[in-house]
Amino acid sequence: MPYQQRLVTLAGYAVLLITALIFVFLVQQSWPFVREHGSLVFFTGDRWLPVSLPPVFQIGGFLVSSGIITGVAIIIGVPFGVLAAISLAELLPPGVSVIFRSIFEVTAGIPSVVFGFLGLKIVAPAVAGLFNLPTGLTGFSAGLVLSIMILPTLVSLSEEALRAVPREYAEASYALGANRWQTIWRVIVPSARGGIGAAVFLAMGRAIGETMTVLMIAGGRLAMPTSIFDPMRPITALIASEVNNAARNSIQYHALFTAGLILFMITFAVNAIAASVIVGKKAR
Amino acid sequence: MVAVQGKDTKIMLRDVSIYYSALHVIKGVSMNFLDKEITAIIGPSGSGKSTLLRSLNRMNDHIAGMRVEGEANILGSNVYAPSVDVVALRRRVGMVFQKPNPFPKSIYDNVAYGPRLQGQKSKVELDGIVERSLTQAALWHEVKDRLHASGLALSGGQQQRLCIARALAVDPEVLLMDEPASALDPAATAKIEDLMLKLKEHLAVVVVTHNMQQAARVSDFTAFLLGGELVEFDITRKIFTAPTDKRTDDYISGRMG
Amino acid sequence: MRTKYQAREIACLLALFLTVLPPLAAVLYIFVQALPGISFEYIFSMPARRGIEGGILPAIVGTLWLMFGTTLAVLPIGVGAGIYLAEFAPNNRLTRLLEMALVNLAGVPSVVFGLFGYTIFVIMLGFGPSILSASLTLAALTLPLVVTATRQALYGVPMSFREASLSLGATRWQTVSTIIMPCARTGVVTGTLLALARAAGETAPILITGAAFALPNLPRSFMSRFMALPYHLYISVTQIPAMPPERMWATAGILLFLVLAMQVGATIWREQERRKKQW
Repeated sequence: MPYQQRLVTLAGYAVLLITALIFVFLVQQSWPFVREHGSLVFFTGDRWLPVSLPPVFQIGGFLVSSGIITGVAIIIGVPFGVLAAISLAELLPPGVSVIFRSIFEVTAGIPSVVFGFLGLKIVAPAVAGLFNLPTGLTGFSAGLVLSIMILPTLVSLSEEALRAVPREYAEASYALGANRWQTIWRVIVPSARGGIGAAVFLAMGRAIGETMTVLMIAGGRLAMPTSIFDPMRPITALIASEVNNAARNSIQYHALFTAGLILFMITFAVNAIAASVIVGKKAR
Repeated sequence: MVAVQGKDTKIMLRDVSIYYSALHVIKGVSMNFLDKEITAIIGPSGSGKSTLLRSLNRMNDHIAGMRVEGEANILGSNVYAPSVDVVALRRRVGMVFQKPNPFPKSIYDNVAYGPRLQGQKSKVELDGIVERSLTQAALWHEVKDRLHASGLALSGGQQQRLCIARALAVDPEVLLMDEPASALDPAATAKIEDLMLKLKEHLAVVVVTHNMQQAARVSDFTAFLLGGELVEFDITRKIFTAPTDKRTDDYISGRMG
Repeated sequence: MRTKYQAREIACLLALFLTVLPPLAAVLYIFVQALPGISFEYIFSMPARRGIEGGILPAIVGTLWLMFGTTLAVLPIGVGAGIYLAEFAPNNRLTRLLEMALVNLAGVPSVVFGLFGYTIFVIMLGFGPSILSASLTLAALTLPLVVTATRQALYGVPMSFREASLSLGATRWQTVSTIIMPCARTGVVTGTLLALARAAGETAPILITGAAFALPNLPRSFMSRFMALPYHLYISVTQIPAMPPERMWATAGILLFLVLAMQVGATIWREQERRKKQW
């Protein structure tokens, strides 16, 4: 085997190594916290008092906040995303679809800190005014902005799934006298279910892991949210906002790594579900 | 089985079987391919023609689950022996594919590709090899003024002759041709066939074809393959005028796919 | 009946329109708002009074350093791994594990990359908070993008080129280096550009690996701490109440311009090459 081939093989395994190292370091850095404070209430409680005596670390409120914001983003984003994908794959001529597709690529390129800035300047005041809230910095505002940010993922993968449906299905439907919309809605979309499902899960993974936008506009309140219009702090925002202030190797520091480990495992699971949907589809 | 005196045997297959996992694709084929002769392999689609041809320079190696039994003796050594240098083997057994596949490089660089791999750097030498190979492939006069134009700018027939020139540039002793004219129009096909007749003056040619007229026109020997089995192998004229096996007769007279 | 279905198709197109409107409007709005704050001085001078006066040259230069460092680190590993996966990886369990790792690496939240980079580069390897640590962290983040882009570009090269090369006595590596890579070059380069555009806009991974809000000097080496456009925007917006709004918009505008220019440039280049392509 020539040495160049050995080198690319090593590079391939470096990818595996880096992924494994991320997990290993998260576990290693979490361990001091888990050993001393690990308990179920870490997940269920909503008290986070890192510098009180004794300190309290419970991430239930942050997990629920992440869930709410992701839920809002998915509920708003998915219908628009799927309909947009239908337009691109089935309704518009290819030349026009290309233009829209490049707009989505541009959206995917807007940095999340810029989305956060816009959310702060435009979306939050609008939400406050519209729903008559004391502050626009709420989980809903963050979810709303995230719904725009996940659209590129949703649309491109859903469109791919729709295009992968064999044309024979559509032709069979037309032969039975169905019109274009009936064919799309009753034949093509159901056949692309798996791929669209995978798109939704990948978008969900992206939303859960999104950091800067939610850090800037979700409001940052530590308590368990009671409404989607509460200010809240999802788990990514917790880590980003405190990691610079936590003294290295303090118990707070290790608690933040534990939160990071939980976040890693959640996104891992969501992506694994998406991947298994895709693989299952291929196997069929 | 035919025995011909006075010509070297370039390839000798003895009871060769090829499997793709559980699939038995080639079933115990024994035959010889002679130097300076054209041997045609004919048979319906799926009969294993291409598999057999591609096993001769080990182009099937990358297929998962591929397994070869029996002995395939090429140029004096068993092709599937563990010690065989596949790269060296392929330099001696060239190949031309069904669809013309010149690289997206200039005509010159296409032909010089093989010699350069072998370390030939001399411009003078390379110029000579390019001219000789293109001349052998009956393409020199058409392209000598634009050797640095892209190989992909040529017509389909010219592209295929460029691919032949590219294969000839490494001086192979055997040339394998996998339906070399099936993607070409009749005029381009005729040129390729003329070329094959000239090429056999220097080397052994093995051609897979689904076109029986082509086999009858150009080849000296014809092998009829059916379902992976070698049904009949003989002098071409005999196969097409007085086949021994009824299945051969059915196939060449068009009573079978 | 026909009109009912037509109405649904129109609703569908309306949804498409509504999905592309916000990002387009956002980009335009930012550029319009940014214009008044952008001046020669803003781009080319050092910050003063915690960024409230002066310019953001160190942030621009810092971001360029980061992109340079990220490229150096991600290119060999990412392209190498892409080549391995597309051309050499055997079809076995280990390769499937590797593919799974790749998919999951692409899904790791950016703030987790920050934690990772801090632990390994800043602390364990002792690089401290520096351009080096941040670049390596961003390289890990962009690695799956570069690997995937390389692999796709290689998959796009016809199988017949590989066969022709092998049949001429080329080894697999010679085939890759002399035929496949030249054909796939554009795809690899544009994919890398897109990944770098992503890196340039990331904030969370550099939060704890070396970014600083206001520095009096330009970075001198990979070991320097640095300012960066996304971090500068984040701190300006959230921590500096006295920051004049037009300065924030200007930072956002410059960051967005940099990122989109790379993106649009890469996309246009890719399309042009695709049109030129003869195979």
